[in-house]
Amino acid sequence: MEELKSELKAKIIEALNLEEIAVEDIENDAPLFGDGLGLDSIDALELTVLLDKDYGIKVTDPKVGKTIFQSIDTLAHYISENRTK
Amino acid sequence: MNNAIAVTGMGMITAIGDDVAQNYHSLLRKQHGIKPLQHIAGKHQAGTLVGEVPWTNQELVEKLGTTVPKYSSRTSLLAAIAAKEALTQAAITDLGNIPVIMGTSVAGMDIFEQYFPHLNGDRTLIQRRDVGDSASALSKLLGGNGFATAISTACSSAANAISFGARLLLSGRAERVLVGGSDALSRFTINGFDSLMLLSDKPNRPFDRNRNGLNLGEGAGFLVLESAKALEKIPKPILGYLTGFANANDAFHQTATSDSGEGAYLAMKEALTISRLAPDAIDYINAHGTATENNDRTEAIAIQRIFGDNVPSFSSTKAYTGHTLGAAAGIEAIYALLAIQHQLAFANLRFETAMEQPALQPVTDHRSSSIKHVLSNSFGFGGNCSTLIFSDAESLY
Amino acid sequence: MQKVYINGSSVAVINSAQLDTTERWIKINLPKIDSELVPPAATRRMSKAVKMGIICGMEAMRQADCPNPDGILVGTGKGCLVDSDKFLKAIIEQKEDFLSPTAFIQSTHNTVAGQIALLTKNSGYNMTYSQGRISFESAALDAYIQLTMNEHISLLVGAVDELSDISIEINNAIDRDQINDTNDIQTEGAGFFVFSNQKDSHTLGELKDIDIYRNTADHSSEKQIGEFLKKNQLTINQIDTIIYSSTTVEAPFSTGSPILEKINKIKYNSQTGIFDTDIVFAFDLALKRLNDQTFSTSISLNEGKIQHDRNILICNFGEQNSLMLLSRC
Repeated sequence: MEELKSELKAKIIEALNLEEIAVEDIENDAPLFGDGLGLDSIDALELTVLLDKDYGIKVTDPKVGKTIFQSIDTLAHYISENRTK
Repeated sequence: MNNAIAVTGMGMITAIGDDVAQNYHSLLRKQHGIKPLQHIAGKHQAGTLVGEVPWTNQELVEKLGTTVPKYSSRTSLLAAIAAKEALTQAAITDLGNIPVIMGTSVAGMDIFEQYFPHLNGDRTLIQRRDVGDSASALSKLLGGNGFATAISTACSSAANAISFGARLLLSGRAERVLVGGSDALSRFTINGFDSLMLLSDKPNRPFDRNRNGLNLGEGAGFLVLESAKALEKIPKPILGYLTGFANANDAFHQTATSDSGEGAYLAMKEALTISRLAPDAIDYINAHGTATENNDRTEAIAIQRIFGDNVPSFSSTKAYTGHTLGAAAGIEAIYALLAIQHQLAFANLRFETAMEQPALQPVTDHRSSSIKHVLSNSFGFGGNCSTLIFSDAESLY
Repeated sequence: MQKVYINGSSVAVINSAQLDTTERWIKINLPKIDSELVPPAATRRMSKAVKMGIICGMEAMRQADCPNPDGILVGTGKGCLVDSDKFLKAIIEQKEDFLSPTAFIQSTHNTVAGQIALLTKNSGYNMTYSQGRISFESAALDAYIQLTMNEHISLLVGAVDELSDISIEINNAIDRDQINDTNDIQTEGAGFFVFSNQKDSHTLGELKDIDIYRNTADHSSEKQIGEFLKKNQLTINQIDTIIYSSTTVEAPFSTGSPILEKINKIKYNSQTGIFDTDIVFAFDLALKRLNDQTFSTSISLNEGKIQHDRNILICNFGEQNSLMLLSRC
């Protein structure tokens, strides 16, 4: 799971162009949206694409996305349960 | 009355008709044009619901009845057909140096994407992609030799084109202008809106609690606007007046509107100020009403802020045509004028349940009533909010 | 009718030293945007076009001491080309799967104007014109009309165009198959100005008039220039300098007009390379000359001594033509 979490952090930094941020800067349980990393609705869509492309998980309901993307922990958990790639 | 901006010609082509008369009859019969995509190959063909003009490019060229330049874009062909109808109605046989102001977001992307990236080794396609090429192409196709320019502000483009045309008249720099917008469907925009998860898998339901997104559409809508001075020289029937126009920015987010509908509110407020009409003078609103969760809710909030307890009849005609992007405001300007002409507020199709908050209800059946002043909204990405107000030819302040 | 003053001016073009090359495409080196000015969360998505627009737009507003103009008008020939190319390429290569919404959103032409509004929380008039080489002039004309009719007091008006690697590749591929004898260097850049109907200590010049027209058989550029000046109660002798660009058509000066021949003329593209809205450089150069400023990196543009220019005519000859008259205040 730890490996997946590091992998996710690196992918998020790349996909969302978070130039100023390193993998070490992202806490596992810190909120990704709103205050934490300050991601927004466009980033949520990008993460949805990432989930599909890299892990074969299709999220079609934006509301479901909200719960999955709360933190690295929730995201990693969801992926490990649902991945098809 | 010196500053009156008269509409003397209208022309259009959409999924529900090849000209104004056909569009009106479809509206009357509540016949929408939302169907699975036909003419663009790929993932969305035969699946994604759109408001498509049913003709191929070749058929559009035949309808136009003139030869067209190599690799003419569908956007240009639709524009030319609509513009021609408007000019004919305004009895203008020679476009001459009449300025052409065109709103578009797709422009020639529809043809460019077909040949990308090799482009048949032809530079013409690079030129076609340019938004500006659409406006010059339109002017030239119609035999014009005047100033032509294009405005590209996403879904409010045509409203802004109409407004700039009005300014050219008000400043005395022109006496007549040809204004409006055109957009063809393209892989680029269909996939773009799909990536934003804004498309509905069903025919769109503006303002309904259970709406789940928009259907893209294509088409063109053009008007001829003339100044009082021009009409003194050559009198002709006046279809209505453009009495208000405004643009404001929501400045909240690139694609979503603020919860208070601030940009929409400011645009409507300013348009009313310019028209010197009180809110209760508005008889009908042709809403932007794309049927996305965000737009309809925030537009309704803005409407409530302006009209309070006296919200006039309102509906979104995108239920018939789909969301025609850069052409929308041009097409819907004509529907506003038709509403005045026929004293009819058009039904908002497929509405069943009002939103929870605000619980506004559009007209669900065509409503006959006295319609003198119509307000039309068009809101685009980048927080770009535009409002136009059209008034009866008889009822000028 | 109100007058229109220019109270702030900021352009970003390539360093003219970069033009000393055999390359056909030269990109601009942009400074990093101050994170105090724009948070990294915002800049991370921005293409060069947006960054140039923000840097120049905010600098022009700072110069004019006008942090909240009544509106923002932008001209762009090719729009946000990088993101547009990126999205299109992805559609083709990925067969319409796994498409990034960011590129699509950023590709709309009004992204620059929208982003400036977002950052400065400007809820005013917001417009984007895209008409090739007269994109800036279209925006400027709109602003000019609004200010002279006193609809607004101040407006930020600018233009921007960026290069895109994908488009460069496509262009090069076509040129390999065709003989292309143009040796124009293609570049990118931006220019933003604060237009106002209030004259103050920041005022750099007055935009007396602007016109956009098409060349026709019975309406030549020479005739149009004559009429334009007459309308503004000026004779050609009162024009001190003509700054011009000429792409698809022969500039009328070369047809041996004796009067036009005498005037100090500057063809500015040798300092900027070509991009659709490079006319912004001419606009800025005119303002510098009206304030007796030299242009630091090029001797040729300071040719013919400081003339204390009072009236400068800017001409843009191409598919459509524009004339702008800037005068000393």
